[in-house]
Amino acid sequence: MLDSKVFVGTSDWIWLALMGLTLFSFGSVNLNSERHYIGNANSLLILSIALIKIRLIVRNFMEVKTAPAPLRIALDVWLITLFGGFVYFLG
Amino acid sequence: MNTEFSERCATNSDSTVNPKIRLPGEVGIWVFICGDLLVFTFLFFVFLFYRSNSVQIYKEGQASLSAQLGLLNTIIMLTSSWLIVRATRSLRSGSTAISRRYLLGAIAFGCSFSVVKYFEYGNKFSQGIDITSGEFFMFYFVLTGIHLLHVIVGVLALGLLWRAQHARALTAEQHTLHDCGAVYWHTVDLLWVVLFPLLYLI
Repeated sequence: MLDSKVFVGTSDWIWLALMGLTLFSFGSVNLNSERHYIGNANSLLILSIALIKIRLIVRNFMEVKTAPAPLRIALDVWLITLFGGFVYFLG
Repeated sequence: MNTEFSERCATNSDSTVNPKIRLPGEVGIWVFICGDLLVFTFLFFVFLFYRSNSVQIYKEGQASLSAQLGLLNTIIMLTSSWLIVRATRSLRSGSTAISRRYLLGAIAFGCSFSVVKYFEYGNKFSQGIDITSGEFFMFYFVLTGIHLLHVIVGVLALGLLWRAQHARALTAEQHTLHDCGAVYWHTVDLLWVVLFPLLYLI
């Protein structure tokens, strides 16, 4: 046992949320153990979920939530750019 | 909290305005990370551009990949990142020994990621599939190969941090180095978070 408390902080819940979102994305493509092809709308949804996961990692794991404003803004702009690109190519 | 670490926080120019505002690591590592993210963003968009021209071919290529192994590697990366967060928290509370154990766990997960990738590549090569087997596989091997290189560099960096943290009381520089290693490893994690759905799911 590395820590006296197994779940003690926000980061632990964030990790659980990341796992949940990952399994949701995977499950939506591999229903009933059978892979099925998804359309552009669902592809966009899955990539959007990935962006939500990234924001959770950036803000909580990388501590950007408490970083200087220019870094916070730059990374949010990057995420918006990624989303814009995904919409452009899949929308 | 470790005294030297507290002093470092106090000397941070932003923290004199708002003690809660703090840049983890050095400015240099963030410049590198932002550059890395821009390069990968470009590669993601190039992939999607070519994919939009021949979706069916990309879907056929994707069907030959093991989404289960992709999922396994995602779980490995996310867990490894989480262990780094715990290592950082332990280090800041002065528990160097516990921090080292979490670091070792993160390194083990990083190695596991590489082992899974080794078997995945091996499986593809045994089927006669390589980087020349069409557009999809060119992207697959280039994107995952560059990412795997990041993983290997990250594991080595975490190993160096683990080795450097044998002292009971760490210097402010060692705390900064740990933060740099941590944010780099989280970057490697978040890049995989995009690569997984891009190559295996959509």
